[in-house]
Amino acid sequence: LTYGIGRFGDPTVPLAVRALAAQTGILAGALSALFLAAVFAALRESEGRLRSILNAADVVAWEVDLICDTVHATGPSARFLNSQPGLQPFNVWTSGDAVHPADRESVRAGFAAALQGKAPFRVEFRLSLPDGGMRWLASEGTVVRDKDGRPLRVLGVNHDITDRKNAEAALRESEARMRLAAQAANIGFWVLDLETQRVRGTPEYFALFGLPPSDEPVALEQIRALYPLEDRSRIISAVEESIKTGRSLVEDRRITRPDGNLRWLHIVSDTRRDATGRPVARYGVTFDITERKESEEHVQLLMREISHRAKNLLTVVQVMARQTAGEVDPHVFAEHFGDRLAGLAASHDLLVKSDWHGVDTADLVRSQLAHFAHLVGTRVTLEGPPLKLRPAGAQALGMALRELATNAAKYGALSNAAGVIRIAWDIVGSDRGRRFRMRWLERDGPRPRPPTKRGFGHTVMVEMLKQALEAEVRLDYPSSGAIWELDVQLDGPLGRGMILN
Amino acid sequence: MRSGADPIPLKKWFAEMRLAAAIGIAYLAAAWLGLAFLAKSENIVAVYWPAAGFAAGVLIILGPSWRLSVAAGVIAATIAAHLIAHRHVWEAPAFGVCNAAEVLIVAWLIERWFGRGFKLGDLPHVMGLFVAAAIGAGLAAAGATATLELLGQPTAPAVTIWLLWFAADALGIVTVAPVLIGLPPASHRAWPSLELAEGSIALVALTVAGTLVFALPPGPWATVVPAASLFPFVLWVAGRCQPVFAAAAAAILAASSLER
Repeated sequence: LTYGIGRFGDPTVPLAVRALAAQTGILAGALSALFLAAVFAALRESEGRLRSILNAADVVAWEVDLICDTVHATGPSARFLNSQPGLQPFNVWTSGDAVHPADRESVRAGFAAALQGKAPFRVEFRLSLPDGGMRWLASEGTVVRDKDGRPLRVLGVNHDITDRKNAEAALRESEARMRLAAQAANIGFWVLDLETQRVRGTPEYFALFGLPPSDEPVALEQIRALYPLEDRSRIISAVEESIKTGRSLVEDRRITRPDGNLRWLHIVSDTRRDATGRPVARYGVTFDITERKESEEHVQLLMREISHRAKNLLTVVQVMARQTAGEVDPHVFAEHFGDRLAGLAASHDLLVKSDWHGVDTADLVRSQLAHFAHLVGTRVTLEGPPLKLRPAGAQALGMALRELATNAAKYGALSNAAGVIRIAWDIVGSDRGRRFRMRWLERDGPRPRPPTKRGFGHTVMVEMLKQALEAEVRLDYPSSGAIWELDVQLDGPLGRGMILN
Repeated sequence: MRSGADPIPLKKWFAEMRLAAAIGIAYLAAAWLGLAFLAKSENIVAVYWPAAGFAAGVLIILGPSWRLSVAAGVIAATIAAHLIAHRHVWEAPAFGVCNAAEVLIVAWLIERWFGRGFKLGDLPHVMGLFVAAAIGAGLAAAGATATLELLGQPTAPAVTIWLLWFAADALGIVTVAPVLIGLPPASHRAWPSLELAEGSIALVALTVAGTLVFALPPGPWATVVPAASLFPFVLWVAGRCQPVFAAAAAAILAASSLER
């Protein structure tokens, strides 16, 4: 342009040279325009890219010029921050007007520490918005210094972490709820680091094993030592299989606590893997199922007992029927048989009520004297300590008492208006010589007449007890009234099953 | 029943013919403009050859599959321009080949270096265009100079002819091709009306300023005033608008200065 070819330039210079000069100048001008455009376009594109990234990441980039006391911000919230007096980044760091009062001190301290070079600038704080709302911001920055180390500028970014904070709060609340539920249900949570072979667990988890709570991970061996020796290899194989197949492991395990208490634990566990699929940890929940196990065992025992009792009962009923069949009169048979069945049923009811755990002696006596309940305490007295009888003994004794009561009503002390019966029982002797004794004493009744023949009643009152309990049984009929005595050696093979406590 | 002719190649052939014709007509118009500058520069060599930039820009946009059409159009237009300008008939085919080769070389280099993603907003791309223009124009100038020497009708020393030809074609490519290259991307994006208005105003202002500056009578200001007064406009367009506006500004700059 400097040397135009037309009216510009020195006319003495040849036209071709002037043309070349003009071409060169124009070419330089055109190239300059294109280069400048490319540079500016690249700058605009770079800035646009930065804005897009900041927008996408919801990040505000800021620069605090400590010399000029100014702040520049770029990003989605820049306009908002710059347009609201009191919300500009500079005010946030120095006066902190917009910062939540609870966070101001930590923000100021963080900024001051960064300027002094003590720590990198990294703070999280709440920002109060003009509309009354509040946002959580995380701010990170770096201090630019001159060659003498004096701070010139602080460059950094803010990002909105409100959602994260809300999620963390929700998570904390959820964890608290879960911990409460776990405490209430006595459920323990645990994580086993497969590399260190150490277990980190909640206090409930350690309590289940009878161990003190520990914030530090506990060696797996310490836990495994509580499993019975014979179970350990099976447990280890099951865990290895679970890791190998990727299936969660659900099983019941026995443990013996350090205090010797045997417990059953239900454990559900699974494997945590890293990004490459390598197993890094086992985690799971554990809770105590000892009561359930005992209940299950009791049910099974009960089923076996019921089956056994039913067979016995049918045998007894069969014997009763056969013996009672000696009564020629069908009406008498029906009455006697029905009465004996009722006695059997009364003992049975008591056993069912106690889940076949045993029957209190006094209750057993009362049940068999149900027809004379109104006389108990007046004409019938019961004396003896509380003793719980096992089912087998209770059933045999109950039938005998029923038979005694029937005889007393028909022929003995209860057949008149003045007779009384004293029923007494006790444990006599000590240690290996302990015996259970029970006496049935009638008096003031009609003079008893010993039976001329031994029927089913005698079998029930004497023979059956002798066989069932290896007892010594005596039945006499002195003039004062009938006397029935039972003497069972509790240390004998059958007597051992007589008394529970 | 199928006909023996394959409709697809026939259709393509017609398209290529149409493109060759269009290129030829446009190239002829641009060449006429170049020949006008030739008249003002005492009939040595045209000092500005916008036709080269036009053909190179079109071929860069369309891609290498259209090079035959473009080359045919360029050769035909060059011959026509020579005939119209009453220049030596025997030079015309040789000049046509030189011009066509120049366009093909520039487009091929751009394609080879940057693929189909040539961008005016990328500084290496712009520098690449400049280098490609220099290589293409240099080779074409060499061919044209040789032609003139061989036919025995040079009006200036061979070096002068080569330099003038080289500068004219390079100027044409650098000022016109970017405008064409920048138009398709610009047409694809939604332009903010403010930016469009600002770019248009800046270009009009540059045209007016250029016209006024180059209309000044000869004087001592001639060494400084043109550049000093036009540079702010160029800076404005380059800094505030899309690169296609800067390309247009360069073209306006060249046309307005050489027109005088």
